Amino acid sequence: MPHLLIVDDDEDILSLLTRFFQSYGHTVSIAADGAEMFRNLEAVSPDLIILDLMLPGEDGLTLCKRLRVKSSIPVIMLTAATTPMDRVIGLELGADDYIIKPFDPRELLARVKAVLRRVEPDLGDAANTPIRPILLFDTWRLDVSRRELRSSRNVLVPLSGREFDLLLVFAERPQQVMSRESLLDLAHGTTHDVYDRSIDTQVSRLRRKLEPDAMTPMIIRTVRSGGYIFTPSVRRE
Amino acid sequence: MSRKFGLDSVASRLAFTVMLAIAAAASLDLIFIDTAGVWAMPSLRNVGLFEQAATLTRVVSAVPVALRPRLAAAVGNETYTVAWASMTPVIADRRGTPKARQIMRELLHDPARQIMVFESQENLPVNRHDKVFGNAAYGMAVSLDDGSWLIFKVRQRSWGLKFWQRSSLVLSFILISTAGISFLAARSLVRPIEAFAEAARQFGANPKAPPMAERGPGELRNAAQAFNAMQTQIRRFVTDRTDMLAAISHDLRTPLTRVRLRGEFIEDPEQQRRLFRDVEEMQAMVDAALALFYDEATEEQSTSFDLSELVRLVVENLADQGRDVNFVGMDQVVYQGRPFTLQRAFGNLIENACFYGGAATVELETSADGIMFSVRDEGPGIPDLLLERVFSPFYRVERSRNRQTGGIGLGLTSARTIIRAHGSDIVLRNRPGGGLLVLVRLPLVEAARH
Repeated sequence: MPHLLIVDDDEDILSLLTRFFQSYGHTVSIAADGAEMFRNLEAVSPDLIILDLMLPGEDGLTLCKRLRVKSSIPVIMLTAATTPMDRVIGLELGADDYIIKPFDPRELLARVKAVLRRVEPDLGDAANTPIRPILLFDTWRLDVSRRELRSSRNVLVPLSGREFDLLLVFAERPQQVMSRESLLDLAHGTTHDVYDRSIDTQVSRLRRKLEPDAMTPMIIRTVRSGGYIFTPSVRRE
Repeated sequence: MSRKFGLDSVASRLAFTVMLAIAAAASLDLIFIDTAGVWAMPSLRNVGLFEQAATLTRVVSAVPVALRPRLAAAVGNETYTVAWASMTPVIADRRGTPKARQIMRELLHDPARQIMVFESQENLPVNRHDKVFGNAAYGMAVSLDDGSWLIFKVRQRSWGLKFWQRSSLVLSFILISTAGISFLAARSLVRPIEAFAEAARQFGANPKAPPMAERGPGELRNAAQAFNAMQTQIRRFVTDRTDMLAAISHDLRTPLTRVRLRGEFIEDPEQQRRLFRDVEEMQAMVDAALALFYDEATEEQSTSFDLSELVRLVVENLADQGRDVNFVGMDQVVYQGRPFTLQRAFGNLIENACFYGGAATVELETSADGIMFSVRDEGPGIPDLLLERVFSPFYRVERSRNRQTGGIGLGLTSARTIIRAHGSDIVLRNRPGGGLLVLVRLPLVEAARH
């Protein structure tokens, strides 16, 4: 079971989250500020950090930035902010996900699992590659940290959170046949409301946005044996 | 520019304008009198009378002296009369152009001929004491070889302008020049006032509107300065309040998080469900309040984006939640604006239509003058008297309906703030066939082409 390090200055939240995660079998360490976080990081070597944005002294963003210099340990930010700007900043500074207070702890649990699953495969070279690159394919530009899709003319095409997650899964695995199950799993984790068609709906919405002619898709093609393939080659910037 | 000439107040500008108008009218009148005589009073030459007079002079000269008076009298017609005189006529008024004498001498091939010319300035008898020309309009006396004279009189000038015509012409010159100059001057005076009114309107719609330029006459610059100072004060006042409310809403999240987490350990499932629902409700309020405050406090970057896809995103999200909503608009409408903020605004409008109107149809059209976004619903509409009230914060048409039907009364307030910050407004209309129509016309920004 993964080991979590929770950083928050609110004692109640710390103890409540500890109790909650322990009830699901996780090992939990806690820290009230940045200094304690860095001490615990070396002492217990956790698998994931849950980091509050608002902390006394150095705030979560600064800590996240400092953390990234020496470690690629996954970070989930707890934020009280609602604006997309705050979210973007957090993700740009290297957080892997964020959740807005107040939250359903089960949702946090799901994100912890999803983030851990996502980082596992490329654990080896994660420290060397930029964590959140810009992906270029066809005429499109996908800015992962800003969660933005833009056309060659720099026109922003709005994507829903799920559409973005799905497109990212595709763009990170070009020219691979992906089954609906693995797409669903990679994009939305195990907590998704399991119904198969939702992937098809999202693919057709993505096609409408990406393809010059959605009737004859060239970018995301359907594979007869059941699944999809992302055909264009992807460059990283 | 006018400041250089010491015209820095409305009063001096007004006085200067009147002076200028009168001066212009007077000069026009002078110019008319000086030059317009050419066409208002055509000279004799232009009507061929000189040629006739020269011919008649030769004819009369050719006959014996005894016949001359009768011949002269006989050749007159309704335009002119001719008379013969044995002595040099005494003419009181010799206002005639030297040019006329010159012409006549040339026609008679006699550069030394004695000729007297009279030309009245008005179509009036000029000199009643003049026995020779009397009340003639034009007159000419030509000496003959034996020292007698032939006198031509033109009775009236039917080809010239009459006195009242000339007078009304002069009057209209005065009116036109005065009106023209006053209009131009008043325009330059009124423009700063209009700018003032426009700035006040803009500030009313958008508290973040830039300060107005302090231009124009002194009085108006003073007013603009006072207005800008007031605007700054109001803005600071609003910002302070907003910051405070935002801080409160923001800080509520931590205790709410505690409550939500504690709820996990409540044994009674019914109590736990209710507690979660309460937390959600409070969270919705905090979210709505924060959204409203943040729209005012933060500046999302403006970018060009696919507005059709943004609206579809909202529509599809609601449709996924089982709402009866569809999109019938154009695709690939590109707009320059703040996408996240606008998504919230359009989201609020479309959600309202779904919640209160049952079914919603969302349209997006482009035309030469902008983008038209509209939402139609099938609900009961809003009483006309309340069409403005619904934009007030925390106002809800049906207070009896609680959280089951949606928000806390900040949706429209927030949407209007956002749309106004984009230079437009939200128009609500009850449709004749029932249901509410929501219209937003977005002005096309220059870069908004695909």
